Amino acid sequence: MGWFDWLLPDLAWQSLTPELVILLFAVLAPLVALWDADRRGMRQFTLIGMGGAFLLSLGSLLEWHFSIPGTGYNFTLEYQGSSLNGAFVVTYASQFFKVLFTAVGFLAVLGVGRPLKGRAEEDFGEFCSLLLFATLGMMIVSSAQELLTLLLGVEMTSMSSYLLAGMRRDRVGAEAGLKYFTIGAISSGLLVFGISLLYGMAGTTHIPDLARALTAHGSFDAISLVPIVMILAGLGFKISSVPFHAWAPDVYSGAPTPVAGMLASGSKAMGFVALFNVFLVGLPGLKTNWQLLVALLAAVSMVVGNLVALQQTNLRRMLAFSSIAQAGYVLIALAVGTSAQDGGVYAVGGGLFHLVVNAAMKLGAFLVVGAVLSAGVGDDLGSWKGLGRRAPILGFAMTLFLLSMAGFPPLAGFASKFVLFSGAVDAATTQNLGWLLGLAILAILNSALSLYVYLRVLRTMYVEEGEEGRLVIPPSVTTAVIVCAAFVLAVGFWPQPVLDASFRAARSLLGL
Amino acid sequence: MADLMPVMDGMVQTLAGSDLWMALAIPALPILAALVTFFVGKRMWRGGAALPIAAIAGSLGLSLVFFLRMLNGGEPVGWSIAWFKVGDLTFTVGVLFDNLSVWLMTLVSLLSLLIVVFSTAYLADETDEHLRRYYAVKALFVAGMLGSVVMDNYLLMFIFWEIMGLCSYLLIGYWYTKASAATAAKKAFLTTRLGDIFLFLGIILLFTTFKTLSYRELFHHPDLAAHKDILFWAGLCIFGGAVGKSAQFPLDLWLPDAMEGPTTVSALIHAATMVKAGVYLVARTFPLYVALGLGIGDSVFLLIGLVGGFTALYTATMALVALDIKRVLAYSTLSQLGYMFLALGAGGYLFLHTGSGAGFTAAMLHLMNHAFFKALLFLGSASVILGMHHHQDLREMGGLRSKMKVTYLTMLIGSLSIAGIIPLSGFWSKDEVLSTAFHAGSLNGVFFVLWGMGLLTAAMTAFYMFRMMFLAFHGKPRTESAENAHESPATMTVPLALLAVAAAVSGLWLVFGPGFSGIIHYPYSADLGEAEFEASGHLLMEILTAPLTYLSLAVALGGILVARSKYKAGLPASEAEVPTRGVRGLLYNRYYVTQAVYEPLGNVVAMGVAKVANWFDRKGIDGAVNGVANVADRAGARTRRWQDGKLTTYMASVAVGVAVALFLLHEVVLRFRW
Repeated sequence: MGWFDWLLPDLAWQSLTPELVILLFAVLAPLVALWDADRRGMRQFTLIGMGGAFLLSLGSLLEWHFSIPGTGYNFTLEYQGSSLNGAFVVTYASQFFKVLFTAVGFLAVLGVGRPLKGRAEEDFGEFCSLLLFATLGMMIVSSAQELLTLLLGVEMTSMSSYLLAGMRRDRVGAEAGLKYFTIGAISSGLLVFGISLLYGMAGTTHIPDLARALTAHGSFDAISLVPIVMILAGLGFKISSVPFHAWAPDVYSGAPTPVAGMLASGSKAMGFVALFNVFLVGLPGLKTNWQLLVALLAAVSMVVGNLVALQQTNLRRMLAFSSIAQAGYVLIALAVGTSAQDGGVYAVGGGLFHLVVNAAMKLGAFLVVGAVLSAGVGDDLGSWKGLGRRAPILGFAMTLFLLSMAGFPPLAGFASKFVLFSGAVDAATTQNLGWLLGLAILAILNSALSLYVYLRVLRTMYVEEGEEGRLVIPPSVTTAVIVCAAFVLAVGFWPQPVLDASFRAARSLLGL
Repeated sequence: MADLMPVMDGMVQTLAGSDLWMALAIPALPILAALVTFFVGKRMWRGGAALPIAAIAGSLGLSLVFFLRMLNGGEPVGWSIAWFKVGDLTFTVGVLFDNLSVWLMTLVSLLSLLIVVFSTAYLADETDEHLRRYYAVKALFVAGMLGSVVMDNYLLMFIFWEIMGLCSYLLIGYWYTKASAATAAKKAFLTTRLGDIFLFLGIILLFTTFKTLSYRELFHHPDLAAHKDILFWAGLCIFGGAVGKSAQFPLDLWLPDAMEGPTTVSALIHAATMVKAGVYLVARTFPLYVALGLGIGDSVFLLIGLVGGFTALYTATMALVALDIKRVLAYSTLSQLGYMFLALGAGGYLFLHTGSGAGFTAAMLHLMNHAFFKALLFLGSASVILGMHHHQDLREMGGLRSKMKVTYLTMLIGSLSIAGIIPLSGFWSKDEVLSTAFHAGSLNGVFFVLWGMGLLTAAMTAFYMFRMMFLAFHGKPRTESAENAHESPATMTVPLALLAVAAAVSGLWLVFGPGFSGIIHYPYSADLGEAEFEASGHLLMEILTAPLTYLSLAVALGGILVARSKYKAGLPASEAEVPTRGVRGLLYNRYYVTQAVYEPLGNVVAMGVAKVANWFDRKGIDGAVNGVANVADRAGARTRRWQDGKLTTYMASVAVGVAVALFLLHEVVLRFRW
C-alpha cells in the first residue's frame, strides 16, 4: 500500500469508513439516477448509503465486535483514529454526532413522500446526492480538530443546503435558496475572518493548540473580541440564533420539508458541535467574558423565537421560530460550559442531550407537515382543523412532538430540558452567578410560554372540526414519523442510554 | 402509631409482590382507560363512559384496601427504583403510601367515581365524538391527581401535576365553540402555568442543592440546615406553584371563569382534584418549611397564612352578590381553600413555636369535608341547571323546592355543612381552622387579624350560601323554565344522596372513634401523645366547652338569618339587575382587579408581543407570506422585491448583530473589567 502513503500520507482508513461510504454514495447517486426511471431505486440506494454509514458510526460508538468463525479473523469497530496530522480526529464525541447526522439523513430521505414538486422531481438523483454531501459535511465538522477542516465541513454542508433549499423550482423555492445563500455567504465570510484573526493571535489553527497558545498569551487583548464575535456570528447562522436567524422562517417554509427538517435538526446540531469545539476547547483561555455574550444571545433567541412563534398561523414558520427558540436553550449550555465546577460536563452533556432530542422532534414535526402537505392539505393552521381524526397516526405523533418541544412531561423534551436547565441553576448557585440563574429562569418561563404556542395546534387538530375524510399518507413517511415519535416517547420514559451517551460525548468533546 | 414519622426517618417498608402491583395500578388504571377511550371510545357506549368508570372504580377499590390497612395501624409503605442517572445523580420512580397519600387517594378516587357516574346522565345530550374526548381526558385528569398524590418524589409529582394541568385546559374548554369557554380555558391554563414555572424552578433548586428529589431522602437530608437560603427560595417557589394551582390571591382569577366548562368538570376540579393538589403540595412540603426553623420558617408560614386568610375573605365578599349559581360556588371554593392555607400557615407557625400539630390536621380535615360538600353542591347545581334547561342565573329560578325535592334536600345539607352548623362536617373543620388561627394569634398578632377575617368569612359563607338556597328553591318561580323545572334521573340523584350523607358525617371523624388526628397529623407534634390525640372524646368536650365554638356558630346562624330575612320572599327588586355601581358593583366586578390590573397587564404583554412581531414583520424578517403571494401574482416582480430592500434588511440584521455584539462585549469588558 506504499502508493497510498505517497498519495495521502496520514489517514486512519478504518476510522473513516462512515465518511467514505457517504462519499461513495454521494458521488454515485447522480449516475444511479440515470438508470432509475421511477425514483424508487434512487431512494433505496440513498437509504442504503445513509443506513450503512449510520450502522458503521453506531458500531464504532458501541464498539461492535465481529469475528468470522473458522477463519480466526476478528475485528472491532472502534472510535479512535487520527488523520491528517491530527486535523481529523475520530473520538467518541465525533462518532456520537455522526450517528445523529446519518440518522437524520436516513429519516429525511425516508420522509420524502411524493418526492418534489414539478421539475424538481426529475432532479431526485441530485437531491439525494446533495443530501449525502450535506451529511458528509456535518460528519467532517464533528471530527474537525483544525479550524480549517471545520470551515471545510461547514461550507460543504452549507453549499449543499443552499441547493437543497432551492430544490423546489418554483418561485418560493428559488427565493428560499437565494436568501439562504446570500446570508450564508456573509456568515461564511465572517467565519473565515474570525478564523484568520485567531490564527494571527495564536499562530495556529489547531484547536487544542489554540487553547494552549491563548492561555500562554495571558493578558487581555481588545483585538480578541473581534474573532469571538465573528465566529459567533458565522456559526450563529448555522444554529439560527437571533440576530442571525433572519433566513430561517423563509427557508424552512420554502425548502422541501425533509430538507427543512434536516436544517432544523442535523445542520443545527452541526453548528453547535462547531461552537462547542471552538469555544469550549479552543477559547476558554481567552480572558474575555464571551459567556455573557452567549447568554445574551441565548436569552434573545428564546424570547424572540417563542414570542414570534406565538403569532404564526403557518405551521412551517411556527416550527421555524420554535427552532430558533430551541437554539436559545442549547446556547445556555455554551454559556454555562466554562463556569461549571465539573468543567462543563453536566451543562454540555445536557446540551448534547437536548440536541439529540430536538433533532428527533423537529425532524418528526417537519415530516408530519410535509406528509400533510403532500396529501393536499395546506400548512396554515386553519386547514389543520380536525386533522387528528383525518390522520390519526400523524396527529398523535405531532402531538408528541409538539408537547415534547414544550418540555411537557413525561416526553423526551422534558427530560432534556430538566437536565439542561438544572445544569444552569447548579452553576448559578454553586458559582454564585446571578445572571446564569436569570437565564435559567428565563428559559423555564419561555418553556412554559411555548406550550401555549403548541397547544393552539393541538386544539385545532383535535377539538375543532373541519373537513372529513382520511388522508392518504405514503407508508415510508409514516414509518419515518413513527421512528421519530417512538424515539421521543422512549427517551422520555427511559432516557438513560441516550443520556449516558450524551454525557460521555460531552466528556470526550471537552477532552476530560 | 402509623404516621409520617417513618417517612421522615427514611424507614419505609418496601412494597413487594401483589401489593406492589395493586399500588401501581391505582394511577395506572385511569391512564390505560384514558388511552383506550381516546382511541376506540367512539365505538363504545356513551363515548366510552364505561371504561373510565370501571377504571376509577378499580382505583377506588385498591385505594380502599390500603385505606383499611392504614386504619388498622398499618405502617407506611413505599417502593422506588432508579429511573435514570445523570452523572452520579439518580432520579427515581416510586410511590409512597403513607397516611396522607392513602387517605387522599381514597378521597380522590371516591369523589371522581361519583362525579363521572353523574356525568353519564348530565352529558347525555352530547354526541359520542365529544363524549369520547370528555371521558378520555377526564380519566387522564383523575390519573394526574392520583399520580401527584402517590408519587414519592417531586419530579414525578410534577409530571402528574402537569398532566392534570393540561387536562384541565381541555376540560374547561370542552365547549370550545363558546368563545367564553375558550378564553376561560386559556386563562386557567396560563395562570396555573405561571405557578408551575415557580414550582419547576423550586424543584430544580432543590435538586441541584440536595441532589435528590425523593421526599424520604429530602426531608431528613443532613444538609438542610446548611442551605437554608436556597431552601427558603425553593420553599417559596413551591408555595408559588400551590398558589397557582389552588387559585389563591393573586392567581385566583382563573377559577371563577373555569365555570365555563361542564358543571361536572367544575365539580371535579373544585372538590377533590386540581385545586386540592396545591393544598396537598404545601402539606407534603411541610417538613421542608419546618426545617427552615424559627426566624425564616415562621415567616414563610406567616406568608402562607396571610395569603390564605386574605383570599378567604376577599373571595367570600365576591360571592355575596354573584348571580350565577355556579359562580357563587366557585367563589366559595376559593374562600374555603383560603381557610386551608390559613390553617396550614397558622398551624406551621404554631408548630415551630409550641410544637402543636393541630393546624396541619385542621387543614386536612377541612380539605376532606370541603371535598364532600363542594362536590355535593356542584353536582346539585348541575342538577338544578339541567332541571332548569340550562339556565343558571339565580334571578331566573325560584320555587324549585317542590319540583326538585332530592336536589333541594341534598343541597340544603351541603349548605348547612359549608355554613358550619353543628353537627355537619363543615362545622368541625372550620372550627378547628379558626381555633388554630386564634391560638397562633397569641404568638403573633397578625394571626388575630386573620382569625377575625376568618370569622367574618364564616358569617359571609352562611349568608351567601343561604342567599343562593333561598333564591333558587324558595319563593315563587320567576321564569317559565323555573315553572317547568323537573327532577333529575337516578344516576344523578343517587350520587347526590351519597354525597349528602358524606357531607353530613365526615366531620365527625374528628371526634369519634380513633379520631381524624390519629391518622392525619404532622409528625413530631409535641401534643402527639396527649389525651387529645388518644381519646377523641376529650377533643369533643374541648370543642363543646370552648366559647370560640359558640362564637363561630352564632356568626354562622346570624348569616343564615340575615339571608332568610332578605331573600325568603324572593328576589329583592334591588338585585334584579346586574350591579354596576356602588359596593355591590365593586364586589360583582371582583373589585375591578381584572379591569384595573390583569387586563391592562395582559394588554401590555399582548401588545408587546404584537409589537415585537410587527416589528419583525415590517423589517421584512417575517413578511414572506404576503410577499410570496405577490410575487406569484406578477411575473418579474421578484427582482423588484430584492430591490425593495428585503434582502438588505436580512444582511443588515447580521451586520447590526455583529456590531451590537462587539459593542456590548467591548463595553462590558473595558468598562467593568469583568
